[in-house]
Amino acid sequence: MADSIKSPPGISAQSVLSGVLNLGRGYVKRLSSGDLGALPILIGLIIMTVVFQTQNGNFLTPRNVVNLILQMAGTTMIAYGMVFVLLLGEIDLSVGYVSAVGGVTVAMLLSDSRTGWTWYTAIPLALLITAGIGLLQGLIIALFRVPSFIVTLAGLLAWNGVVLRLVGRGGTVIIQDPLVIGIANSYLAPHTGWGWLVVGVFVSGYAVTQGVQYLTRRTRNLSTRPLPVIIVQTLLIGGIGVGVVAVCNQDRGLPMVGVLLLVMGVLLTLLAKNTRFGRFVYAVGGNAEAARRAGINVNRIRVTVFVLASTLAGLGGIILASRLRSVDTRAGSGNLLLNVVAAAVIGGTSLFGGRGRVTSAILGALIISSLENGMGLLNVEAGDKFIITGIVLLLAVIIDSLSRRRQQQSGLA
Amino acid sequence: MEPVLQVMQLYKRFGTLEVLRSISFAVERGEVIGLAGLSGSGKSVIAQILAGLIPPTSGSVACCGQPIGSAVVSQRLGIEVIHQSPVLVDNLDITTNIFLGHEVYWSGIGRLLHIPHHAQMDKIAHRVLEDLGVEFPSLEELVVNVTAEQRQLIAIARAIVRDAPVIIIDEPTVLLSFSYQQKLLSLVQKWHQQGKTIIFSSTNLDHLSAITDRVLVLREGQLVGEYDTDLMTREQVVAGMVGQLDHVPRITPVIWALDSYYRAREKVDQLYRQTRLLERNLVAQGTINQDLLTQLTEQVKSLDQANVALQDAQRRLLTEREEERRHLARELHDQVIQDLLTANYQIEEITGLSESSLLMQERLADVRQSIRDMIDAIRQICGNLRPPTIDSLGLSAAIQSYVRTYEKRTGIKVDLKLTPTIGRLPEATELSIFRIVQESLNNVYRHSGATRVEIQLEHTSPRMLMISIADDGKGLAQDFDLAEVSASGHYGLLGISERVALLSGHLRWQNWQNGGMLLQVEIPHPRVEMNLDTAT
Amino acid sequence: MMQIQRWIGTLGLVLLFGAARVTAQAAIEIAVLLPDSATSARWEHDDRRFLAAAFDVAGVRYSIVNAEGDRQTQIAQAEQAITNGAKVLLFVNLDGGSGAAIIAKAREAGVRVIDYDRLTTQGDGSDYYVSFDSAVVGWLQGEGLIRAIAAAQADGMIGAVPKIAILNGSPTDNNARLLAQGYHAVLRPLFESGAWELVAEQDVPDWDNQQALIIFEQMQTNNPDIDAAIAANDGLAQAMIAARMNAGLPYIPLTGQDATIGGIQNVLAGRQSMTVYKPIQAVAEAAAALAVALVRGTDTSRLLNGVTDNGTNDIPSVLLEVVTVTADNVASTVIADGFRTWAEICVGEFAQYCPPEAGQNG
Repeated sequence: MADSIKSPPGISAQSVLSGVLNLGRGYVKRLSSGDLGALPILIGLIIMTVVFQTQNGNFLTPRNVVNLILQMAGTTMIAYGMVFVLLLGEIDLSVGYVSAVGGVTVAMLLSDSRTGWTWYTAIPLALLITAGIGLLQGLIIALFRVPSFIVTLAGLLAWNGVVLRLVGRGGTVIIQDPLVIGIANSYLAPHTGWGWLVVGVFVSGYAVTQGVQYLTRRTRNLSTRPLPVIIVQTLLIGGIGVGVVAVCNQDRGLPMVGVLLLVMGVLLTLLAKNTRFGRFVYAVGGNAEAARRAGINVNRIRVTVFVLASTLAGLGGIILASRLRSVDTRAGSGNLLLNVVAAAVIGGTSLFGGRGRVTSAILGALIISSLENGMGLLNVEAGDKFIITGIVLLLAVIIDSLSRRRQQQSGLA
Repeated sequence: MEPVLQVMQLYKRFGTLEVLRSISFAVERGEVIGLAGLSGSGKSVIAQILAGLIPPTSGSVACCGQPIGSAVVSQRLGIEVIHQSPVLVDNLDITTNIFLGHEVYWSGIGRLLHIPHHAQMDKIAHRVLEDLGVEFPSLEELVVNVTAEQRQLIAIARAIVRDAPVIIIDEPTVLLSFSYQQKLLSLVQKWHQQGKTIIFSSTNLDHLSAITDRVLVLREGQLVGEYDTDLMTREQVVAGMVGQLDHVPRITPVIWALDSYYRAREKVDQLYRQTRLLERNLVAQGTINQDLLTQLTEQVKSLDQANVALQDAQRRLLTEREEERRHLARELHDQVIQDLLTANYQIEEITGLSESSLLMQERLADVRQSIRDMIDAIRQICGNLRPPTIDSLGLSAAIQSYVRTYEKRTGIKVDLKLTPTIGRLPEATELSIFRIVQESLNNVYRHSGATRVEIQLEHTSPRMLMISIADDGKGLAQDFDLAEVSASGHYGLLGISERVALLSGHLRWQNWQNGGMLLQVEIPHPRVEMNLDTAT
Repeated sequence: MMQIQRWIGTLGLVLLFGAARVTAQAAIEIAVLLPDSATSARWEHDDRRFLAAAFDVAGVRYSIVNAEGDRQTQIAQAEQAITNGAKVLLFVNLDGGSGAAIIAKAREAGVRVIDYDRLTTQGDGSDYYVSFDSAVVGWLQGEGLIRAIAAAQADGMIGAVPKIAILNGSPTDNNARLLAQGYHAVLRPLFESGAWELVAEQDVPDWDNQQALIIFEQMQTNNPDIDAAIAANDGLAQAMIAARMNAGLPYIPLTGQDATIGGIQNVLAGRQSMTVYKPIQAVAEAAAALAVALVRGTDTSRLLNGVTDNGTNDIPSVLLEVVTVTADNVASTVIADGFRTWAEICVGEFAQYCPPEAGQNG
């Protein structure tokens, strides 16, 4: 952005005002150049919350908030992986059934205690299997230069078949292992204060990161957002974190799976933003030829991303199975794949590659799950649900397309 | 010693189109190789094969004895390519693009986890770009927002930070303006001194002769010639690039046509550059573009041929004129002056012998004085016709001596800066440079009304001499057109442009904002030893 | 590259031999067209096996193919069967339209058509219909719920006016519609009289259990005091049970159908009141017997036991009994028929709910 955004360290009312004004101007500039950031999501969330809460007072109850976190968990975990795939400019249509393979593997291995399998052998094996699936699909895509769309479409069929074969005519496999069930069914009990510790660590970590970043950027004479804005933003995040824990503590407490999402979100964000691998993913997605010319092993990046996506899908599948306390022949079907892609895209990850953040998975899943959750409360007919979800998805893709075109235009100017 | 790059029997076909045929060459460590050829001759294809971007149809390419199979291998072997049109990742910022694939990591655990040290990279990138003389408002700007020229500079910065031992430069100057072209050339010389191996592909003979040790000439996918840069002539290279020269029509030399030729050439270059820029956005119109490029190439080709013929004739003309002048000077000096001196002695004798009247004595003294004046005048004419010092003492001495008389004669202060490395150049070149200085100073005296002149002679490369003449006079009119001055009888600048053209040099002039003008002439010449630190 | 070529070569050979085997199998008498293998495991796992066994015993030439959910494929398979000389088509339609098309083609060629387990509701309808009555299944679910609630009320666990939630099957599935018709026929009088209260009812798109879980969680949020529920199959019932357990709520009277292993386990453990067992072997054998009788030209009236209205005509039908499975009769129904074994049911914590003889079998 413009150099004018720097503000002097002394905070007077005037400097704050001009800083905010400049930030506003910078934001408008960013908007007009096509980078919409989290704005559409925030607006969408606010609209949905207002509509659902006025139509049905249960939307913001502690019970429903905890349920919402649980309901979005599986989708978010799979969408984390999808973000990386989309960043590459590829797509993985098989994640739904790959997640089912993960869930089914764990459920089948643990269905009979006499076989000697335990959660600490079954879960790693399931993740290994899903990683292997990713490796297989990734290698086919990279080595045979088959479009990922086709390979994973074939995968979608094949892994569905595998799930059918595994579950077979039993129809349903009920999970009994307490730890596996506990993945989606344990909470940081309100009275222990663990929830506060988690949110405290996260928020202070965020604040410290922001502060360090601000200071180093200032010393390096780089443009920074004005300090008050950073403070407000940190307070806002902190407020949301504290609010969520406070609300959850009035019910069963902060779900463990929510903590898992948070930890994975942070780790994957670090992976995407602060490692060579992440840079290469953005580079390959932005311009594969440029990446190739820079000596990046593009194929290796592709394969790794598909392995990552499949492994995360496997983890998501285990969360889904844990929530349902069972797996069945329909596992991984339905609107899971659509929800995952929609979550990533609605969150702001471009279908065209190179643009997006890991956090978009969590934001997009929040939108999708809130929509489903709220419509469930309002008793919306199945047909209407399809229509509304379809419209939301379409809006997200249109926004993506428009912002891409804007960026191209502003890039040419 | 094993060559760094070894290309053997290289063939490349795109479909049925054969773009490279039986190319073999080797590059030794520390060599700077020029690849000359018109566009479409296969230079870029060679660069891309060496970069591992496209596989050869047959034949082998190897670096340090290892075959180049892919871009990853090529990079690992230490080959960095600056492409004709850089391919960068639009959605990443400038620093990330510069270091892509060669990140700087934090030390310790950061290196283990491959965590890039962005601040460090920013710092290096900042310094490198500053050295290149390019400035961005922020290195966090996405590459999508920078101009084509800046993209090329980013690509050059990539090559600098990578510190690769082998650098291949594929016509990068197409996207660069003049000053950046000079920057790149001096950068290549620096790399050369550092012992890097470089392949420099270009259509620009000045660039090639300024920096290379050896030039390979490509035509239509074949290697048609290989020349030692110190020994080659431009005619040889041009002949190689455009093909047969036997059928070149003899064209009557028209003096101003040379200048028009350079203007046309410049226009073509400009057009070519614009076409290149457009190319990025005109993928769909590729075929039209190709036609256009082919047409341009054809035009340049015929212009080149015309120019060769014209230069040929013109050079003959000038050489004959110089011969004539020398002859005339010698005649005057050896015959007329001797005769006059003889006459003078005879008159002296007559004065001593005769017992004639005082009046007669005085008259004779007058006659002797006027004879001496006449001898001085003729000596000066001789000096102008043929500077006496140039043959014996060389260019520097000749110019210094001429400047001294010029100062005395005109009262204009001349500030002369001569680089000590000029040494002895070929006779024709020295004479031409002398004439250029002479003509310029005459112009200053006659037209500008200046009181001070600054003359500077320096090397911009071991094969290029730059003559700058700056005055504080009134400068040139805004609508000055060299092609028209011949009509009005001002031959000064025209004569200079003519000589420059014949030496395949360049002539530029510009008015200073607060009066005065700067005339810059660049003359290529055979390699001289020079210390780079004193050059720009 | 060589390797790929070799693979392609092998693939070609396999296809070639496969094709040869198909042609060698020409001149069939009965063709069975199954719908898919994705929506239910039963077609490939059970129906194919039981039908084949029955035909083998009768000694007729037959083919069994699966359209994998593709209507065009199924029509092509029907045409091929007719070309190959089939006299009877035993088929499960994929939807009313394509089903009617197949029936029309068969009728033109003089081939008899039996609707197998799924009635073709468009066009004139087929010649015969062999199925469980899905409406009866639903009706049994309703009846089962009435009994379960009565028992719970007797224990004092449910109030006088029980609050009921219903999860219907996929809105695009005709069987789900028939099921809903069945249980609504039983329960409607109770809702209308005010004896029971229907607090929530939703369709579950695609029978997706994950969505069912969310839908039921939202029902619970709106109505924390749901007393009893109907799920359109055991999978949806499991979703409801999971939602109850996840929220730390007690089990409620809940009926499902399909007799999946999970369903029977839930029934044994008291988490689900009952499930409905459809003896697939019985329906397969009945259909096979009818088809064989049609091929041989023997009397079919002894086999038929009713008519079904497809909207245009009354179709002569064989309608098979379905069986309510509760904790009490697991052994005498699904286990006795060999549909399930104690070994697959009595795993882990469920072993404690199994009768003592189960351990010996398993």
